[in-house]
Amino acid sequence: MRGVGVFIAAWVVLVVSGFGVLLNYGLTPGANTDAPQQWPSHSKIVPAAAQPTLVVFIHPFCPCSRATLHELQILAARCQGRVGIRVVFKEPAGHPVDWAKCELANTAKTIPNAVVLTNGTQGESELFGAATSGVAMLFDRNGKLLFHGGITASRGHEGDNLGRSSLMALIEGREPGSACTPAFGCSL
Amino acid sequence: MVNENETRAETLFNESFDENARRTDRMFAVLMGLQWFAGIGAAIYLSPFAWEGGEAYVHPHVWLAVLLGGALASLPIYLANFHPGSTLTRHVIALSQVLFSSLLIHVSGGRLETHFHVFGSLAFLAFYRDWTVLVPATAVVAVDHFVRGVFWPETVFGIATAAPWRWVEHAAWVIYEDVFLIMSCLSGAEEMRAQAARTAELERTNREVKDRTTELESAYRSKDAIVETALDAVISLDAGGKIIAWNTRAEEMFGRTTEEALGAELIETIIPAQASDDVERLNACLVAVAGNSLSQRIEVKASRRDGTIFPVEFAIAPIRAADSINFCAFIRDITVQQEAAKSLRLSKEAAESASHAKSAFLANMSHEIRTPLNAILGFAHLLKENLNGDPEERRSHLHTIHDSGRHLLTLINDVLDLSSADGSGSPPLLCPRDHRRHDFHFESSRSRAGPFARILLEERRP
Repeated sequence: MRGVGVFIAAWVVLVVSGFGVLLNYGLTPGANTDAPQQWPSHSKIVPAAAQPTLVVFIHPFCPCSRATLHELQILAARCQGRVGIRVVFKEPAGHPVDWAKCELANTAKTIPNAVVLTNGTQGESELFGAATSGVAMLFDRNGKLLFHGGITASRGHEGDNLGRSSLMALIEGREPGSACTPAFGCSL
Repeated sequence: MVNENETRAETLFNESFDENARRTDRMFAVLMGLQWFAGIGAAIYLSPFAWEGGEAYVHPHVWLAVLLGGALASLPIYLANFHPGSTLTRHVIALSQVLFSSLLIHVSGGRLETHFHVFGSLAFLAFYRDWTVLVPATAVVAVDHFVRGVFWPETVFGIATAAPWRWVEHAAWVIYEDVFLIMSCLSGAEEMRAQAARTAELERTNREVKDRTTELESAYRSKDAIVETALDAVISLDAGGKIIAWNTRAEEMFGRTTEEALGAELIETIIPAQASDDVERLNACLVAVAGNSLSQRIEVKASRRDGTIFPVEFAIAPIRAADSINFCAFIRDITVQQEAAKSLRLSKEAAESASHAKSAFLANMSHEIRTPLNAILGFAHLLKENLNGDPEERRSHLHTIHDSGRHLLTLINDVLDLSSADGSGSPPLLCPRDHRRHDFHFESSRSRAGPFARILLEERRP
C-alpha cells in the first residue's frame, strides 16, 4: 500500500491541476473592448422605439454562448415588454453559415420579443466594440449605454449571475449590481 | 457458546461487509468508466470546438473530459480491481465520484439538472453502508463551494456580493441528504450485523442438528444391532396390532421371514387358533399397556409356521409418540425353562422323599441302638443282683451282654460308615437293604436277650 500512497498523492496533484486548468479556462473572460457610450449612429440595427434596447453579439458556433442565450431567455421572460432585444450573429470569416441549421440562431428565435439578426451584420460588432461572443449592451431609449458585459458567471456556465441581475435591475429601474461585467465566450 | 457465537457473528459480519464493499467497488469501477465516456461524449456533443473568429480548435472541455476524466476514473478503477474492499479504495472512489460531478457540471455548461449528479453520487456511495465515505465527498463539495465562494462567488451563487457564509448553506443541503444517508448506512450495517447473528445462530443449530443426527443414527444402528442379535424375538406393532418390525430371531422362532410378517396381525400370525384364552389375554395385555405406561409380561402358547406349538413369554412395552402409540414385544421361547422347572420340581420331590427316608432311618437306628444297650444294661443289672447265682445262668448273661455290645459296635460302625459316606458326598445308604440288615441284627439280639430282656425292650420301645 506504500506504493499506492505515492500513486494517490500523484493522482491528487494531477486532479487538482486538472481542475485548476478547468476553472482557469472557465473564469478567463474574453477580450474586452470599450463599448460606445451612445448608440452608434452608423449602425443598421434599429433600436426599440420607446424602450431600452439590449444588443447581444453571438458567434454562431460558440458553444459557450448557449448559456448566454439561456440566460437571455430568462431575462426576456421576466422583462417581457420592457426591453427590446436584438441578437446579432456575426458570421465568422471563411465559414459561411447555413442559418437554417444553426442551433444558436434557432434558439435565439425562441426568445420573446427578440429580433434575431443573421444577415447584413458585417461591421456591427466593430461599431459596438464587441469582441467576445455573449457580450451584451443595454442602451436606454435615448441611446445611452447603461450596461456592458457578459450575462454568464463563467464560460458557458448557466445560472444566476451578476450580469443578468444587473440588467434586470436597470430595466426595472433599480440600481444595478454592476454596469460592467466580464464576458465569457469565443472571440468574434 | 455465547462468545463463540458472537465471534462467529462478527466474522460473518466482516465477511458480509467486505463482500458488499467489493461488490460496490466493482459497480463504481464500471460507473467510473461509463462516466468517463459520458463526459467525453457530452463534451464532444455540447462543445466540440472553440472559436477565435474564423479559426476553430478543439474545445478545452473535450481535452479535460478525456484527460481529467481519465485521471478521475483511472485510480478508482485500479484500486477497485487490485485493492477491492479496502477502506482506502472506497474513500478514493468517493472523492473521485464527487469530482466527477464537478467535471460533468462544467462540461454540461452548469446545467441545473447536472447538479443532481452530486446527490445521486452520495446516494450511490451509501451502498457501501459505511457512512465515513460520505465525509470526504461532502468535504469536497463544501471546500469547493467555500473556495469558489470566497474567490469567485459569482460562479457559485450567481452574485458577487454573496454573504461569506453562503457556502455553508449549500453544504448544508448536502449534509441534509447525508443525515438520511448516514442513518441508512447505520441501519444497513445493523441489519447486516443482525443477519450475521442469525446466520451464526443458524450455523450453530445446524451443527447441533448434525451432531444429534449422527448420535441418532448411531443409536439407531446400535438399536438395530441389539434387536438383530437379540436372543429373543423383538417385534414392533402399530396401534392396531399389526407387525411393523420383525427381527432375525423372530424369523428363526416362528419360521416366517420379515417380508411375510410385516403388515400381518401379530395375534393371527403367532398365536394358535385353538388358544382362544391366550388370544384374549394378549389382547387384554395390549389394551392395558396402551392405557398406561407400564410394561406387561404374559406367558402364552405360540405356533410356528409348521404348526409346532411352544410356550413363549411376552414382554410388551408401549412406545408413545406425540399423537400415536406403538408397541414393542419381546418374545422368549420358554420351552427349555419350563422343562428345567419340571425337572427341578421332580428333583425336589425326590429330595424330600430321601429326607423322609433318612428320618425314618434315624428313628429305626435309634431304636436299634437302644435295644442292645438295654440288653447290656438289663443283663448287667441281673448279674449285679445275682453275683452268687447259677454260674451257667451268669455265663449266659455275660454272653448276652457281650453279643449285645458287639451288635452295638456293629451298629455304630455302620452309622459311622454311613456318616463317612454322607460326608464324602457319596449317596447315603438309605435303602431297604440296609434297613433289613439292621433289622436282622436287631432280631438276633432280641432273640438272644431272653424273656426278661424282651419284656424290657418292649416296655422301652416307643
